[in-house]
Amino acid sequence: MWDGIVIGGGLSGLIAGIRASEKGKRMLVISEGVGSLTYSSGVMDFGDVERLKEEKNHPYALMGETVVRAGMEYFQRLFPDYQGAWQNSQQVLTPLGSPREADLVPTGLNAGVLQKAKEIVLIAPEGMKDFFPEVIKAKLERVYSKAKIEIYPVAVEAFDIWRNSGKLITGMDYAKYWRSDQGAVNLKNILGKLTEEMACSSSGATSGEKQGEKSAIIFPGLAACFSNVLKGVLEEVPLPIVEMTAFPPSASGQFLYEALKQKFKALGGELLVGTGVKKVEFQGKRCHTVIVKSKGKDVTFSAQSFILATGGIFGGGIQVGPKDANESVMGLPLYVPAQWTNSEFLGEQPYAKMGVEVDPELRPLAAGNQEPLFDNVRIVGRLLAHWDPWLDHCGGGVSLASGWLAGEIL
Amino acid sequence: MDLKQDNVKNLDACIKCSACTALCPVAAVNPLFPGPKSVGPDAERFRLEGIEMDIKCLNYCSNCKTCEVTCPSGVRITSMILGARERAKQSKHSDGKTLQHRFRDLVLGRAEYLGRLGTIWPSMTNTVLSISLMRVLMEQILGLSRHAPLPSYHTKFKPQGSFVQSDKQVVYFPGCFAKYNDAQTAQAVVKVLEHNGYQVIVPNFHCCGVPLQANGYFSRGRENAKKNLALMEPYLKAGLPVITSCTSCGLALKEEYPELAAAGAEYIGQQTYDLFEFLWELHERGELREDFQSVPVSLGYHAPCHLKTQGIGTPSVRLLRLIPGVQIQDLDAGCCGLSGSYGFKEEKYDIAMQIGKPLYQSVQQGVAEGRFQTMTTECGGCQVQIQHGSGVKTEHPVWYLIRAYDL
Amino acid sequence: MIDYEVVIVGGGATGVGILRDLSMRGITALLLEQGDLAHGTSSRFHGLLHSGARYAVKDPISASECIEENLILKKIAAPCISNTGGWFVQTVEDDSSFVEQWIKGCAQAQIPIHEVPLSEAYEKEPLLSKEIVRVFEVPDAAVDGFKLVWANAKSAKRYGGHYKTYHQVESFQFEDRRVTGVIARNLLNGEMLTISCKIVVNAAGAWASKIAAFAGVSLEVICDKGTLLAFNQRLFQRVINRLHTPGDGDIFVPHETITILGTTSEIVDSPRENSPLKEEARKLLAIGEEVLPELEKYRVIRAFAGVRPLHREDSDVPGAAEEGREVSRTFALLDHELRDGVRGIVSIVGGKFTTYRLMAEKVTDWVSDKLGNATPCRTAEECLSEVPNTVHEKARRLLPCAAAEKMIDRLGEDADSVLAEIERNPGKGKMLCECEMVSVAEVEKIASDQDTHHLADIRRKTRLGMGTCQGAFCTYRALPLLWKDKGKYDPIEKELTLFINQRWKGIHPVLWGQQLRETELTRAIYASILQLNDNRGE
Repeated sequence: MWDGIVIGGGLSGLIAGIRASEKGKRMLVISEGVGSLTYSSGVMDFGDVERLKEEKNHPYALMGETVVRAGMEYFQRLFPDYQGAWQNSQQVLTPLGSPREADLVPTGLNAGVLQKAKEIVLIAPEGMKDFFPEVIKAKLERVYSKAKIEIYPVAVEAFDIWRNSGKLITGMDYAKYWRSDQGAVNLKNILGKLTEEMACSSSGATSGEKQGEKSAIIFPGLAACFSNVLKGVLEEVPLPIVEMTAFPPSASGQFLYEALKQKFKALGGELLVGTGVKKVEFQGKRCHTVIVKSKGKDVTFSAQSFILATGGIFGGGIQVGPKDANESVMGLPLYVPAQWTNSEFLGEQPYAKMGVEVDPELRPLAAGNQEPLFDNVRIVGRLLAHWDPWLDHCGGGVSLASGWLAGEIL
Repeated sequence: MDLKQDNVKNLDACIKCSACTALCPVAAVNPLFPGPKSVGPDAERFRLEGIEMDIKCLNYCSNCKTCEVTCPSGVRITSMILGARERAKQSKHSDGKTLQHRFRDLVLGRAEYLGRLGTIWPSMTNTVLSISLMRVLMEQILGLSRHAPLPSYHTKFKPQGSFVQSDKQVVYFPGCFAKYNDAQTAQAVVKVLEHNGYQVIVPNFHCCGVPLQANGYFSRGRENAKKNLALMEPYLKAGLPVITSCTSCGLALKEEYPELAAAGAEYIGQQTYDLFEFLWELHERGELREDFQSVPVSLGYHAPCHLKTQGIGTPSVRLLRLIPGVQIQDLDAGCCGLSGSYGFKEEKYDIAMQIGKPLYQSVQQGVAEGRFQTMTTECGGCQVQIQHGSGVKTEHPVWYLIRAYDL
Repeated sequence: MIDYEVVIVGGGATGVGILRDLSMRGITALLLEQGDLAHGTSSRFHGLLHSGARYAVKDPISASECIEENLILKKIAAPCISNTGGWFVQTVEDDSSFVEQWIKGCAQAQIPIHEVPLSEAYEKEPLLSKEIVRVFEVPDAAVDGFKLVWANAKSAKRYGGHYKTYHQVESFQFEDRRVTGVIARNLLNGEMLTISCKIVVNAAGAWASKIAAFAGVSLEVICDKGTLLAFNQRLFQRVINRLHTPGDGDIFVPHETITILGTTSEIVDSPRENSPLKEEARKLLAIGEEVLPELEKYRVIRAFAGVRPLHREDSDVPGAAEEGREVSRTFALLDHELRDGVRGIVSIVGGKFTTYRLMAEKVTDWVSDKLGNATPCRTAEECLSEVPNTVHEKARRLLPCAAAEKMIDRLGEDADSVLAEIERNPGKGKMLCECEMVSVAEVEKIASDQDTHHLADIRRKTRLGMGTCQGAFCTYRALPLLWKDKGKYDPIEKELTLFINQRWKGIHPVLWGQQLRETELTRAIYASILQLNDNRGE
């Protein structure tokens, strides 16, 4: 018998699992595959909390600002490498080189320093998939019009065979390389040589200005977060180094996922990845057992409490057919908007607000009334109704706040 | 629902997110392997059009199934790759192997014959295997890497469980590794089960078929499976559980045997248990003997890939935590690299070592920081490879039960 | 002094077929197309190369034309055709007396058919409904509209023919009641262009009445909208037709990696009304289910619609009944001198994709006659393109099998230059579009073509963005290549949004299941990771 079972191992599920484990609960997380963090950029967006907390039915309105803040602070306590806050947004670079706001950002991704730079060197790791230095350079030149932008190609010998055989080298491959023993040494040399060159070329600049105040390096595919070795290497470089968010799958997102798993396991939690929940058993207003599709047979796990973190449409928590939509695990009632789509793809898409409606303690509501259906089931993350992370840029905020709250009150 | 419809829907589920390739241990280190997405679901749409791909690419897959565990959409990526490999082998195209490698794969595929030979005169075999000149010859003749940690051979496991007569019975499927290379562990499994009041029946099983399949001998793999099923069928019908202590054998019994057209196939998936899965169920039912003595030990745990794929979690970690004194942490540091016999092959030895590197480092770091002293993992292959890669002693978790029960 | 002897208006299959035929006969010609070649009806159909069996009962002339052209095209356009064969399946719902009529009709039109035993049918097509009564094999095939149009255009070019895309005809020049020239606007830069010529050929398909109006001629084209569904994979290995009176949603055509199910039929006011609707998609699924059970559980990657230009001759027009005017029941060549007293212009209307070559031949015969050119037509004998074996071998050496063959089929002899680029830089051999296996080098080559202006142009020439992900990943990868040599990156975000919105048009009517998941991933990429809907930072 477990104290709690979390169904779904993405950001909100793991946060809930970690928080509950920390409070001494025996927790099991069951997840169909890796969560969506692998595709995310690894930064946390909270969106316009002031506005959204007033928006009727929005999870922020339901949970209240205090919980949103608690979720944010909890995450920062877990990962002190993340800077910022929703009242103190940071700038990060998109994979196309545009600066954009983000609320919690791994230190290395903060691009604020570029605003003052007069010289920006864009590292171009050779043959890196989904990375287009010329496009980024053109963009940077428009945004940071006072700075001189230069592309600095970097070839890594370890990838020579990859390039010659036409194999794609992803940002993830580069990131893994830099944090290997050999990669870290190589990185140190590359950065050493580069800073030296930059120092020489700008030696005629106004005296009194330190190099670090006017020059900066942009380093895509580095993802130094969570690596003490890399942090050590970067600390020795006199110039600010700015990472970029990556086209998915992204190393920063993946490393955050790994870090969350490690934290959860270190607290004694068990993680069952690669298996979906087939059925759930209830008695009255309490759920007591989940049945998992293991290989060859079904396996049952029983617990006191359950947290449903299966995600929305993308994560598989909601399954949509040509005629209907269903919550995949418990068959909970769903809020489904009458209008489905709009013609502007990146505009508001009503279907995206589909989800499970809950009470302030995240318990699912029965269709058409305000009574919780179950006492010991809580809904977190993308499965919640009435929000759209892509429109309001609040994906990280809702996931962290609801995950934290569910873990806290388990 | 027939198989074809099921396969169509399974391929439809792939949304091209690339998580499988991003986390594939082989793709990360092998420049010639384009990754599971590419040779699995991407290529599958073309295979349905009759366009097969270069079999060499398919052969680089180590069958660790990390992609299937990773996939958020439940796509059976490895099965697609193995299926394509089998079809490509049947078609007129060459399988891309040299004569030498074909012979080598013939040998590696037959862990069972190797085992029988090796256990006839184990000390002689081990001596021969440890002579470096011999290993050079083996590399040149057989394509078996001279650096690879070939397991040593011991006296063949002969079940000695006939003393216990009980109405509680289980069938034990030891698998080739326990049978030929690690009879003591097999014996330990029997002792633990007997200690819990079970009579352990061990028919003279054949190799489960996984090594045959991994080396490209699909139909022979299935023949073996059918022979084993025939041996098990009467017990299965009587409702006896089948216990495995090797995670790859366990996976085959649970995942592949049920798909065979043979008597017993309808029961085997339902009735197969990993040893610790079985013991955990006993614990949950209050039937496990928990007369544990304290075992003061700190362990690092590695979850074998084929255990992860089974979808039962890590019951050994749960169970060992019941033993007073045992500290155990799941390292979660990826695949060990060996993948059955993949890492024994000369052309894949380096790849295997690179695959396992993060794990070896994590093990060494844990030991250096004093977080644990030894490693434990269920899979015999992983044990050998982790020990080879990290230099840290690695044993089957059943040994801690032996100590706790003082058997 | 004239610029060209002939100006052709319309870059669909018929137009490029005429351009090629004229050029092969030594007649100078320019083709004007308002969009990209094949952007209209020629690419918005099920891609079935008819054997004629579908018309065997109702329309024997069409049936005979189809089987003749079917055999010719399989010979001259092999790379554009996948010779899958086709089946006609009778379900328990279908009338047996029709079957007998059909067998007779096929015999009369000389369409070879043979009955397939059910056991064999289920073995070859396991997804087929168990409610099938009889199955007949016919020589249907799948044809790729994009490839066929481009192969014709390239062949015409080699014979000295010219074409200009993104050029819209705005008016004609006249002398007496003779058309002597065409005035067109370059839609990319707004420039006007005047081309003098002896004859204008109106091959504008669904837009033919608009073109005819510039000559003061009235011509009725009925716009018949047909919606189709594209499934994520090959559900059948061959074309599957229902053996009944032809109706909606009764043809499945396997196309490369996908399957197309078509077609609905609805009269609309304008050729621009080509947006597929959710109701149409549902209707198709419901009908298709009689051949493939549980069809709605299979993944539809998009819906699309084309407008078939049906010709109805107005009997009030003087001379409408004159002999020789109506070339066949399926297509009509309208001599506007005879019909309306306007010289120097001819319209070709109606017809089918399968008979495009025959239509082109008839038009070119008419033009040759007017110009006094006696060179015979050779389009039934001469292949559209021939790729030497050495290129095939090189491709197989440098690219994965699937990518190699597909590229040669698409590019013809141009494949050689792509391969040379990959040889120089192996990195360019990697796949840019992973779903449809299009290499970086191929996209680069197409992107650098003079007549490539938009991502959609690359898509039509390569299948980029037409697979499972519907452009979620490859759009982002292709854009920088499209802009590479043009020195300006400003419009990059605008173009991304434009292309994604175009794709969205075909996705929202089928927004459920796995494609909805894919859509959410796409929104995550473009709205969150690339933040194309938010420029707070700037």
